[in-house]
Amino acid sequence: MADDFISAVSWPVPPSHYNPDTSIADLPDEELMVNVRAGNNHALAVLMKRHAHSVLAVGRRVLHDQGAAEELVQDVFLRVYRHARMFDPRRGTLRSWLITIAYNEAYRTRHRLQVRHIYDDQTVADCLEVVETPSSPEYHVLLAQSEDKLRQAFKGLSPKQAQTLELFFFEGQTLRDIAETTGEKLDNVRHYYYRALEQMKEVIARHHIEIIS
Amino acid sequence: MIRKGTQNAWNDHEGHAPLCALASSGALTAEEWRMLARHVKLCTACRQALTQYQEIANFGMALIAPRDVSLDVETEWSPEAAVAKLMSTLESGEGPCVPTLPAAAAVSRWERLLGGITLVRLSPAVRYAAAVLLFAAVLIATYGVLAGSRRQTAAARTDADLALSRQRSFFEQRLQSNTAEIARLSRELQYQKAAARELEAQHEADHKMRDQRERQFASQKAENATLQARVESLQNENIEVAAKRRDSEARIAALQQSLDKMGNQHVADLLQKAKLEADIASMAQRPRPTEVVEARETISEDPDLRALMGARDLFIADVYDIDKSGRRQRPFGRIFYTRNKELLFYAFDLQEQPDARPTSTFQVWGRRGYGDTHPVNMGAMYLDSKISNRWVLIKDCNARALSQVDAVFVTIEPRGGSKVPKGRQLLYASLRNVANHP
Repeated sequence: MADDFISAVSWPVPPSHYNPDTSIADLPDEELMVNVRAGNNHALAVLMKRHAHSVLAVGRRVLHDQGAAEELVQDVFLRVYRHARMFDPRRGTLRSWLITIAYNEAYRTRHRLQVRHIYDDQTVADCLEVVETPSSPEYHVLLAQSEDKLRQAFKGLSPKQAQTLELFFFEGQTLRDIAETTGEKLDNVRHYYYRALEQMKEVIARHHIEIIS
Repeated sequence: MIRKGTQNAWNDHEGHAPLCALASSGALTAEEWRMLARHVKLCTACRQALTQYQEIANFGMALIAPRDVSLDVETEWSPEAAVAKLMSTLESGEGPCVPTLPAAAAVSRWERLLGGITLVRLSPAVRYAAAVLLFAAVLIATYGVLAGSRRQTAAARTDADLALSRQRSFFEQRLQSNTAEIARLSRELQYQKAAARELEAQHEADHKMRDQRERQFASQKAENATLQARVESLQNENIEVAAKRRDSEARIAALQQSLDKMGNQHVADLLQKAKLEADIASMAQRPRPTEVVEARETISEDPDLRALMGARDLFIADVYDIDKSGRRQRPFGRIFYTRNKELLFYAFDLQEQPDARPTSTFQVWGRRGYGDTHPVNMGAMYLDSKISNRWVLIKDCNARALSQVDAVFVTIEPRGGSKVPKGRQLLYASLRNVANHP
């Protein structure tokens, strides 16, 4: 699914600027990515040293587990290495791209961890059966085109809905943690979560209609 | 959040929408997971919604996540160690993604052919030598294949039937498999058609239910409006009643105040009355000889009275009232009279008459002939002695009225007397009698 995600935000490969020069540590991120795309592991190492802290911070924030966060760093940079050609500097900085991948991967990892820690085997099977529902590359592309709309939709949420999503996605709290933090009932927090995602989904649907019309 | 009664309704999209959204939160119960798993197997719409919710939760939220990630990483963690671990992973076979990088894909195929040697790390010369060796090997192999094929043509013909037989068997098995698959798909199609019909029926029922609820809602809304108007009317009435009640309470308070004042005055009057009665009783019980003596002295010393008593033509008469049975009544009087000169009229026990009041005036009238309807007012009697209960009227010789009357009588009149006699007549006495004294 993560591969689908990265594929959905791929752009045409820029002209190659492969540079086998050994003084690669001084190159900017964009040129390092060109080298990584050409198979230069050293360039990847330089990038990892520069940005691994940020990825690790995302992992710690979302996963609340040092070991899982360190694994996240490995996964993210492995994916960067495999899909280096997907990076387009015209769409943003490398750091921003890395953070997006890190959050995306962290959410999936957290979900898998939660499922395995909370439920019994049969429920885990049910969960995996559901969450491994085939993804929709078209919807990936639509979301990638709707980043501004998503931000607007997020700003349009009620304070409690926005707080629920912030604590869940950006601070790594579970819905039960959020209920304890905010003093709300768990059912209410579930309701805020559902309504918030529903509103964002509706915004995307309207945007899709605007695009195709 | 989950509606009651929807757990078995696999086509209830509304009931499962929250589950689809919450699937990404890790907050579903085991039962909710099972419901959702069963439902999305059959429901395309919810499966699509689930996918979209998952993508929003993972990818969408990642897009809008804050980029200013704080770097509060502990010092024990080493990025160098992480880099080393990643490099080790890459060297162990997790190289760049083959399908997405055509150039790298060719390299990977060569890598596999060369037993895992990573060509990207070899020098160009070595790469060229390897290619030449490989080309030679291919030429040799091709020559060997061509030579061998000539020798094996006859044997191949004998083996053709066997191969065809194997192919036939293979295709027969494939045919059976495909037939079974077609049957399975046919059953699945029937099932999906049945599900679609059920969905359609459910949709129709939902539509009817929605219409019915809308009608009920409209009816309820109208009823609410009526009730609201009634409530407002009652509220206005309550306001008016409250105002009237306040006015009534104010009036009651004023009346109560007046009543209290009058009650106090009444009590004060009663006390005063009791005090006065006590004084009267005390005074009545106390004999007053000096007063009697004074009265006697007054009468005896009065020269007119002495002249009256010593007159030659004095007429003295006792006067009684007689009831229907001929018995004398209690009050009686005594008259001393000299014709056309003086009249002294004593009366006793007048206040004991049943129609007499403490405030009554005992008024003396003079009759001017028989049938006189306008008797002359001779004056009011005064209490001459309380001890003897004696009342008196003295009319002197200059009184013009005395010369006109031929009889006198007494009436009980209100305080201050009357212009004409209104009360009952008492002690009627004729004055035409001749003198009987001496």
